[in-house]
Amino acid sequence: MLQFREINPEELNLIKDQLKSALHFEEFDTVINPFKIIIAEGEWKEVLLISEEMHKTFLEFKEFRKPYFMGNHLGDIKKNNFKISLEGITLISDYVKEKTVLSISGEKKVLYGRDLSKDNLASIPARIQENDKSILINKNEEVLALGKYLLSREQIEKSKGNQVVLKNIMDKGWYLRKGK
Amino acid sequence: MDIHELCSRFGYREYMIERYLKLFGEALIIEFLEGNEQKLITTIKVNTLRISREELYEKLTNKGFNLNPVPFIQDAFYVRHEPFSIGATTEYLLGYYYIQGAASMIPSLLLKPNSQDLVVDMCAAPGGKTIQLAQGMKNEGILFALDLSRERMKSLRSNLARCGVKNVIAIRMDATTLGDLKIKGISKILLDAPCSGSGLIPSDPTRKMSRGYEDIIFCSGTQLKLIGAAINALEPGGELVYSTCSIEPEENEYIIDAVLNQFGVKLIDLGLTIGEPGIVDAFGKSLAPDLKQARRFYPYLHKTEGFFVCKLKKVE
Repeated sequence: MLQFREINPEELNLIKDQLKSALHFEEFDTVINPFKIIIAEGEWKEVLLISEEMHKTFLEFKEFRKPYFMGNHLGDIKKNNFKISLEGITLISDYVKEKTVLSISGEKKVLYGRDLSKDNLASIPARIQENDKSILINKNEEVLALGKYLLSREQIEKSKGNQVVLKNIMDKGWYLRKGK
Repeated sequence: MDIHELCSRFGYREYMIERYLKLFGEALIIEFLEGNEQKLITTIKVNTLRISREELYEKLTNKGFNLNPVPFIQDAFYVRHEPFSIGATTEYLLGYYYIQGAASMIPSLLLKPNSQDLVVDMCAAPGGKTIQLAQGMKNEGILFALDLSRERMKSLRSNLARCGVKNVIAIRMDATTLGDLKIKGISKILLDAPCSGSGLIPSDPTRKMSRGYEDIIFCSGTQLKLIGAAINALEPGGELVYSTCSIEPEENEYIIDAVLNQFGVKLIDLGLTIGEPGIVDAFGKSLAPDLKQARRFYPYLHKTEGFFVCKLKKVE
C-alpha cells in the first residue's frame, strides 16, 4: 500500500540536482515549485505534482482511502536516483535548451522503442558527450522520448550509418506497447 | 414474425429477439437488427488540453486520414479513411486525441463541468470520459476518478498521462462506497455505469450470444446501488449524468424511474437535437413520463453504439 506524504528537503535537492546535471534543467523554481510535491512511497517513491487545491482535498479524505495516483507524475526515486517520467520530460521540455531533433525515420524508430543511429538524428546538441542524456523531439518540437548518447559528437560524426549512437531510455510508444 | 428464424438469421439468443420485438415492434425489428450488423465508423475526440481541432485536422489529413466532423459533438471527427491504424499515430501517442464511440462522448459534454466544480467520475477507466471532463475543467479544480479494477486503473493512468490530465485524484475502490470518502461539496457526478453492453453489438457481435437475461438483472442491481451512492454523495442542487452502453430498459429507464421515486431528484432536459426519447412504457410497465427527457441512441438510427443517457438534478 502506497503511503502519501510531502517531499522532504533531501529528496527535493536530489531531484533538482539530478535534473540539472542530467538535462541542464535549471528552471525548477519556475516550473515545479508552483505545485505541491507529493511522494507516494511503496517499493519505490513516485514523485507527484498536484495543485494546492487538490492537496487540501487530499488531506480531507486521506484517512478514509488512499489514492491510486493523483496529479502529474514527475518521475520516481529508486535507490537514491531520480528517474524522470514521460510526463516529466514533457513538462520540463520547454525549459531545456539543448534537445536532440529526430528525422522522420528517427521518430518512427524511437516510438517503436528502438535505439537510434546517426541517420535518425536531424540535429544534436553542440557539446554532447558519451553518456549524456537528451530529450528527443521531432521537427515539430513535439517531445517523443528520452535518450542517452553512447558516443561523443565527434565520434557520432565518424560513426557508420547503422551504428547505434543513441540509446532509447523511454519513449511515448510505451503508451501503446505497455500502457493500454 | 418467426422468432426462431430471426435468431438463426442474425445469430441472437432467443430471449433477446423476444425482447427486441416487444421494444421495437415488427415494423422496426429488422431495421434494428440489420443496423447492428453494420460496422460503426471510428470516431475520435480532440484533446483540447493538448491541441486545437484545426491543428489536429491538418496533421492527420496531411498523413492521409480522411476526417469529417461529427455534427452533434464539438471537436470530434469520423475517421472515414485510415492509411494505417488511427490508434498508432505519433499524434495519438502525444495525446492529441482519443478513440471513443460518438454516443459515449455525450455524457461528459452534458455534465458541463468547470474548474469551480468538484467532480466525480464513478466508473472512470479506461478514461475517455474522464479526459473529456478534465478538458471542460481546463485541467483545474478537482476531478475524482474511481474504478474498482486494478488492470483498468493502469489503463486509466496511462491514458490520463498520455493526454496530459493533471487535475485527477484516482482511487481504486468500489464506487458504491463513494460516501465513505466523506468528500463535501460534490457538485457534479458522471456515472457511466457498468452494463450488459447490448449497445456494443456492432463492434462486438459475440454479445449476441454471451449475455443472458440474468446478466441484465445482475447489472441493474449494481446500477441501482451505484446511482443511489451517487445521489447520496451529491450536494443539494448538484447534477448527475447517468449513462450506459446498454439498450435494455431494466438498466436504464427502470433505474431512473426507481430513483425518481426513492430520492429527491428530478430529470433535466438535455437540450440535445439528436437521440430518441427515453421509453416510458416497457414490457408492460409504465414509467415516469419525465423519462422522455432521457435520450437513447441506436446503431440503425444514429450510426452510433447503442446508448442511453439522462441528467438528474438533486433537489435543493
